[in-house]
Amino acid sequence: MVCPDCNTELPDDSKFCSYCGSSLIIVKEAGYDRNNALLIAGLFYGINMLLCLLIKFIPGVQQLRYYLIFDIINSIITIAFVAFTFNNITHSLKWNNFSFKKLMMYSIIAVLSSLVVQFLIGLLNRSLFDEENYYYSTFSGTAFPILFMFLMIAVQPALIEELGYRGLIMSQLNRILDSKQVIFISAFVFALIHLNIFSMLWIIPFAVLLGYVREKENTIWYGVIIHFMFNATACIVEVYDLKLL
Amino acid sequence: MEYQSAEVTISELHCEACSAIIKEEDFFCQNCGFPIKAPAEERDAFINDRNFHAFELTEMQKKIKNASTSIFVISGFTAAAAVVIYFMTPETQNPLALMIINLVVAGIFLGLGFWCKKQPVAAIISALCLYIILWLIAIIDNPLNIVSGIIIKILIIGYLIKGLKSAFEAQKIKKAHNL
Repeated sequence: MVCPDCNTELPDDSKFCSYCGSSLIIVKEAGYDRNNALLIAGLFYGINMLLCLLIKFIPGVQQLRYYLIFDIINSIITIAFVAFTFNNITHSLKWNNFSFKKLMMYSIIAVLSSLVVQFLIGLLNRSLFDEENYYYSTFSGTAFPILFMFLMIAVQPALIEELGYRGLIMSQLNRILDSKQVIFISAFVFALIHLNIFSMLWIIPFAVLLGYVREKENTIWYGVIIHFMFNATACIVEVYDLKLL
Repeated sequence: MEYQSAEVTISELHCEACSAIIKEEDFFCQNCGFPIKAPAEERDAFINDRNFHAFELTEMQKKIKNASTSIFVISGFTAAAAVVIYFMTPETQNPLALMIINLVVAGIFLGLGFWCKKQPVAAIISALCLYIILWLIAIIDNPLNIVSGIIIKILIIGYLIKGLKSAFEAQKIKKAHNL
């Protein structure tokens, strides 16, 4: 490596330049940056969490029309936050170096892990709670139930959750923390949003994968595909299970 | 008979400030930035400064330790509550499931407590989020839960936030001086 101040050639693992003494370590945050980034990420997360608490716990609200309102409000808020912090987030919204091979590889990983997770959840639900949970029932009264199920369970979350968590929250945390910490924190808080302690056990690893891919490929879009394929597989399996097609 | 033994000693130079290996031609230590060839006052000032930052770090480690202890306390309380809940919940409300849920929560806090040694910032932020959300859910379930155990809750959250601030500072100091 080369010292940025005096241009001396240095061994790669140097922490200080042996010629001019400059620090070579990147220290990420200034005081203002830290508070600002935490505020933005915290505010977005807080609003998101509030909406999730409302939709989950207020009695009588667990119906399609309220889910739709919830989705719309959530989407607007996410896009608004993204717009306001566009400078920080813009690089992760591009998709440079699109690779079909990678797309295939990530899609396969998504589908396989979805099948595994669904199997395990099914086991858990049956053994511990003695019940089955199906998404389809929410949509059965609509004009195009399977289409709407895909839109609301696979498409919308893949877009908006990736935008909010791998996009906004990770960009903000990246201003003040290292990659590893950012990936873990965003995965953990993302898992919390689902308000189900057992789901945390598989969502945390899944979100770590999404975060890792976002860092490695410098874009949220592979994650969007992974998330979509994961949720879509769940829908397809359900359609199969209920013998709807 | 004459024995000729050639001893070639390669003397390794070590940095006064951090003991890392340095080379004859270096002006600064590549590990800690110590000004090797500066006059004595500058070298002494650097070492004093470095010692001061090391001392600051130990103070911060204490606060971080308080935070990780709080996390372990939460874990212990939750595990104990899990057992109590199992025996006190009527059969119709699925006491086994409730107990397992609490045990999983206790397990997550336990993991975060250990994780705090390695990545205090990530662990404390996660613990804070989980703790506050559990509190919110308890309040939604029964608004009286706002006040139940509120002193302990505020204490714990206080320790966690202090620990988080210290963790951020410690991270910065470690990085800037490679301590």
